[in-house]
Amino acid sequence: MKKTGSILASIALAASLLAGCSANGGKQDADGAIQIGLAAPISGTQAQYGEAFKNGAELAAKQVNDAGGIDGKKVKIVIQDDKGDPHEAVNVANKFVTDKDILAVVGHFNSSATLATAPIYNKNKIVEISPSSSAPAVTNAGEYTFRVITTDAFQAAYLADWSKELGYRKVALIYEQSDFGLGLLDVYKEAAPKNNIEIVAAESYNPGDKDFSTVLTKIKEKQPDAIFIGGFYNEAALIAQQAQKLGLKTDYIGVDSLYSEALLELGGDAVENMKLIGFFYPGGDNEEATKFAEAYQTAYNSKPDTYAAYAYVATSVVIEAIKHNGADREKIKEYLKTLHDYKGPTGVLSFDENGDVVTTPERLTIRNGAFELYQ
Amino acid sequence: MRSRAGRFAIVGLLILLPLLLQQIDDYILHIAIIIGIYAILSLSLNVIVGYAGQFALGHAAFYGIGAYTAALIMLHGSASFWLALAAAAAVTGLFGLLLGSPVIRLRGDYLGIVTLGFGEIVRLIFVNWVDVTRGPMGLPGIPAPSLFGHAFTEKIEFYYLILALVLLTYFIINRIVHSGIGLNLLTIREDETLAQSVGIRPNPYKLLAFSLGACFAGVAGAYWAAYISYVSPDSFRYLDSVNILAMVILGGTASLPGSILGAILLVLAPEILRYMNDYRMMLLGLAIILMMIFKPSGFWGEKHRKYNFYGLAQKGGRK
Repeated sequence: MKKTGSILASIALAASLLAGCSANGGKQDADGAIQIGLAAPISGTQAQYGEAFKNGAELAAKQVNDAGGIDGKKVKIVIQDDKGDPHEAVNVANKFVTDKDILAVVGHFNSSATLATAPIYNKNKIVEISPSSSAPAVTNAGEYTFRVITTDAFQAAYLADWSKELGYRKVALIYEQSDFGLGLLDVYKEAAPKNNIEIVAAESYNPGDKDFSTVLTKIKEKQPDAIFIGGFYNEAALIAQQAQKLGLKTDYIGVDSLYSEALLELGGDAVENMKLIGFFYPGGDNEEATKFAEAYQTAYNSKPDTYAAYAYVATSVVIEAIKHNGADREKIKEYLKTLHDYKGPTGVLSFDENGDVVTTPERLTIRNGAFELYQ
Repeated sequence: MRSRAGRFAIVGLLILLPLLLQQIDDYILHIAIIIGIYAILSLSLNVIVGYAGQFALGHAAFYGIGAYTAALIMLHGSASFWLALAAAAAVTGLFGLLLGSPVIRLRGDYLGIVTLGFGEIVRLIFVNWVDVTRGPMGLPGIPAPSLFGHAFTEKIEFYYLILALVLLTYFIINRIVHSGIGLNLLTIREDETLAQSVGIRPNPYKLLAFSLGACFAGVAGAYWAAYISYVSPDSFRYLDSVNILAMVILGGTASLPGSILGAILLVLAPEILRYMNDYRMMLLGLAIILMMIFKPSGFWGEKHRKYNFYGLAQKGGRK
């Protein structure tokens, strides 16, 4: 019995090894194709975003290929799973940089993964363009590290300006205890005095928290004009609903991570009039966004979320770089450095000298259970 | 393995290995380095789980404490890697002792739960103690180790460093577990009452196992910090603890070569299975389940029964 077991086990292992070899061998078939790496959390707790990344990036490649490719060559997206874990991300980065056919890498999702892998990409002089890593530290990660999402700092500063225009005097902050939430908190707090805003409370929560009644009761006493939510849509919807139950009447203002259909579904009428900024808003002034949303709907039969749009943009600018400057790692970087006013579904974008994106968000609000442009 | 020549052959082979691998690529060299890190982690956990029989689930916490200690010392104290390595080992060893003191009164499942809690607490401290750890933002820009003024930049240099650390870990743990201390640990593991009745006090030995295991996990952490040059809390999650425990059990508890084998298997398998895309982790899980059904004592575990504790063939014991 024992022998059978070990034989079985060894056969299984050997088979998977062989399969691995043949898969590697099969790679040569794709010879001639232009290969772009995509590092995303395909498995693990963030797999939903990995899926969005994959769909967005593959749609960009598909559109180019349907139009005849780049100089007749097809674009191929090579996907590797980083599980949203810095350990895995570093493995993936090493795999990409040693594969000479990979011209640039779209990824990673988490800021921690992007930061852990940045030294590898920069040492090997290959562009890493993150669709979603918004941590301020990514700015200084290296000259080959780019991103198409604005930093948390930018969003918070923008919101502070907008708060002033809206006439808010007393603002309470509720933020997620993460690099994201803390980054927003710091910048908003700093910008507040300049905009005549008094911060009356700053309360944190952990991602996944469900009960905000304690926090909201504290805030209710301060009677703020608005609550600034530095977190994601799930918690934002809960905060608005629980505040409504407590009889706390106030405005809400938040960052683009709140912008999701799920906010409307979860929040119901509690999120009515919530003010937020968004970069990807189909159906508005940005034609590219509308076009992308339609193409995505046709390809996957579902609505794209912000991350799919960002992944699409990141892949598109790399493709754009290859079109203009040729299939060369170094030249892709040079092109991105000079990219100016690129029109994509997340707005008109350029890169600054640190590889950070420069763009203007759309001001949105919720009316009758739907997002619309704030007038 | 048992013969001196065999051991030298393996060490010699490992030293020459990168020359072969470098012809292939940096990625494989990187995987070899990761195997080295996990080999140290599983060897150190084996002291706690395998030899002392303490079911601990928070090993990633020690790994993390080591990484953060080394990172902070190198960034703020601008100390050299070697000093940071020693400090990380000492600090984590101390934490092992601290955790050990209250939990040696617990056994089995209860111990598992408490160590699990410890792992979570440590991770939450990394996340929330923003002034020191910069919270979830992590600590970037950790300098690389340097030797005689030469800073490590190439993968091959890191490979030899981890190889030296693995050999050192193996040597020290091997000497300890094959000494009277190891024999006492095994006695305690098998039957605590019996151990006490023959004059072995369990508590000091369990504490020793905890601090020894923690200490080497700290070494691995310090190496990781210097190798990647960035540490963040999500590198030291509960899942990583489970992964290390799986290496120990898959390789065979109370077997040092087994721990290394476990590390090799569980680092290599997910990489080899990359071509499976979405099914990768599922297949790995399936392989582990099958493995546990057909070979519950791990790949190298059975060896343990063929030889007695001092590495002699069992027939010597039978007489």
